[in-house]
Parts: sequence; structure tokens; C-alpha cells
Amino acid sequence: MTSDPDGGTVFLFDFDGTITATELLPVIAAEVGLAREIGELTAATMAGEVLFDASFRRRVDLLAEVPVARVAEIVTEMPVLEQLVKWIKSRRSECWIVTSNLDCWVRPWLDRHGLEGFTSRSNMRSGRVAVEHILRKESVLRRFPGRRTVMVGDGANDAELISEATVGIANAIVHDVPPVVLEVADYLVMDEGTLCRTLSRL
Amino acid sequence: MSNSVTVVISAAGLGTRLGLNRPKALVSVAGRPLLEWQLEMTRAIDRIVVVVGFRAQEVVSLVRGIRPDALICLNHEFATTGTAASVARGAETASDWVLSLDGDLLVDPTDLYELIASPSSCLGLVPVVSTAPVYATVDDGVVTGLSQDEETPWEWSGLVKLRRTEAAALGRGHVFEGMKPSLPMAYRGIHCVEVDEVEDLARAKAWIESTPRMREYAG
Repeated sequence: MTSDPDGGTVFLFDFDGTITATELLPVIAAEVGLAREIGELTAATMAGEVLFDASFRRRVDLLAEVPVARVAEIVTEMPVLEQLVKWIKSRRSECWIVTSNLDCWVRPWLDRHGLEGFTSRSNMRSGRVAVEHILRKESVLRRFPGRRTVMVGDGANDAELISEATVGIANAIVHDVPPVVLEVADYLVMDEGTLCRTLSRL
Repeated sequence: MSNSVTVVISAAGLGTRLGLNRPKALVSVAGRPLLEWQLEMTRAIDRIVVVVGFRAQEVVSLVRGIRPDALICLNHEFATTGTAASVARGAETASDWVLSLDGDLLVDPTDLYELIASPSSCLGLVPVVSTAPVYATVDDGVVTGLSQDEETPWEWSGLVKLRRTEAAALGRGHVFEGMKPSLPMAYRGIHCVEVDEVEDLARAKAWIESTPRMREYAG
């Protein structure tokens, strides 16, 4: 990954619910008949009602036996915000995806679209996917010392990065954002065109 | 597009003098919230920024129902800064020109659009009506002074067209103070009503009902 240390603005994007139109885990869960449980747990976590780490480990555990290749397929089929993805690709060298989601599930999508990202780390134990290390989203800013940063996210676990980035944008295109995100964001968008136009002016 | 205008609506305030325990933007006048009047009236404008603060989510929900393509700007310091802070934040990503509209102001659409079309920075003035007006000194067809002390026949309404750079440099206090470096400035007489005190609600309703262009937007 080459980045000009004296370069311009760094654009960071959450994956689930910002690039993808819906959260990823509930869709994977449908493969093993756990869509409702995972859906409820995911929603509660994004709303900030449940702490992220324990919830994420629990959900991964429930989905551990879904074959990784099948998940990669599901991810490529997920509806995304097309205009946003197009914008990101047009500014590819300035954009990074920041997701607590697992590398084995999300990297194939990133690679396919030629995008860089930070993810959580997984490992395989007896054919079951397990969480090895959950990404600390806030630590991402330390990778861009002295740079102006813009963060776009929609869930409670994006709040800290939205707060600490130079500019924080709450993505309310698909759903309202939780209060903790509204309290720290600089901007809020409800429309993809407005998001892209605003990013271009930052 | 060098002439494109972004309308920036300052809707972050508390509206304490209205005593209605809700953001001023959501106070109903003639059957609909103030902000709804403003958003309906500015439908012809592509770029809208609404600056929110007090009870932000409620104001955002209202905007979502009418102009989901509006950019919401959050002014978290709404309780401790003046309107200038809201306008300056709202202007950061704007196009070349900003039309700054106070959240408590209903403007005759004819005047609003004429101000938008003004070729230069331009203040909307009214004959003095307020209890604490910002007096405008007019000299030789331009505004040369803005002050709360020096009584003149004109007051500034709270509506102004500014260059984005002027709007972004307004500071954090009163907008009229922040505009002083931009004087002298052109002006237009406009028709409008400000909703500041409880007594203004009935007056605003009567004004709407007697202003033909407003009735067009009554929905």
C-alpha cells in the first residue's frame, strides 16, 4: 500500500450498512436458518444497546460452520450503494474500508473491487471460523499521522472514529443512526448523491 | 457552476423565548412547522443545507420527510454559540454562493428568489419592526453599517446572500457582526415575518393568509 505521507485527505468507510445496503451477518445467517437471531443481535449492537466485542464473537460462533467460499459468494451478491462504490473507486488511492468484520469474509470483496481496507482477523480451527483479533477502529487513525481524515459510518461502533476523524459523516441513507453517532458527527446524509457530492467537496 | 447557490437554513436553536419546549424549526405556524414552510418554499433549489443542534434527531426526521437530499450539518455548540457558527459550518461544503436563512424567518417566495438571483452579496432588509433590531445604515443605495445601537429606518431581516468565503468567515457570534468586513453591501427590501415570541405566532399566521405567494405553498 503506497501512500504519500504528505498527501491529501484520507477517506475511511465502514463496510456493513455503509457500502453494503444491509448488514452482512444476518444474510450469512439465513444459510443456517439463524437469520432472526443474528438479525436481532446485529440490530441491537448497531444501535449501541449491546457491546460490540462479545456480540460479534457470539455471532461469528453461530456462523462458524458456514463454508468460507459460500460466504464470499454471498458477499459479492450483496446489494451495495452503487454510486458510493463508484465514487470510492474513482478516488481509490485515497480511500480505505474500515470494518470490524472478518478478513476471510470481506477481503474477497475488497480484492475484487481493488480496494484497501482494515478488517478483523480470523483463523480456522477444525474447519470452523473463529475470531482471532477484533479491529480497534480508532487505531486506524494512527496509521495516518498528521493527515486530514473523513470517516463515514452508520453504527454505534463507528461513533469513536466518526468523533476522532477530522470530519465525521453519519450515513443515514438506509436507516436512522443511533444517538451516540448523532452526538459526534459533523454531517449527516440521507441520500447517496448528497453523500458523494459532499465527499467531493471535502 | 459559478452562480450556483446553496441555501443554508440555521435550525439549530432552542427557541426558548417561544417557551414551547421544542426547537423553533418544529413550531407550527398556520398548521405546519416553520422548517416545513421553508423546505417547501425552497424546493426549486438543488442544494440545501440544514444546520441542526437542539433535538437534532427530531429536526432531521422532519427534513427526511421533505428533502432527504438535504445535507444535515450538526452544530453541537448550539447552546453556547451564535447563529454565525451555524451559518459558517453550513457554508463549509457549499457552492460559490450561500443564501443564509434564519430558522425563525418566513420570507415571501418572490423576495427569496429575487435575492437568490442577486448578482452580488445582498442583504434582505425590512422597515424596523423588531424589539431588538439590527439596524442597517443605508447610504447611496448600499448598506454601509449594521448595528444594534444606531437607530435607522431599516433593519436586517436575517436573510442574506453571501459568497461562500464570506459565510465561512462569519465567526461564532452574531451574523451581523461577522458580516461587517463585507460592507458596503447591496440590499433589497423584502416581505417576511420572524417568529421569535409567542405573540408572533398569530401575526405570522395572519401574514401567511394575506400573502398570495405563501398560499401557493400552503399545500
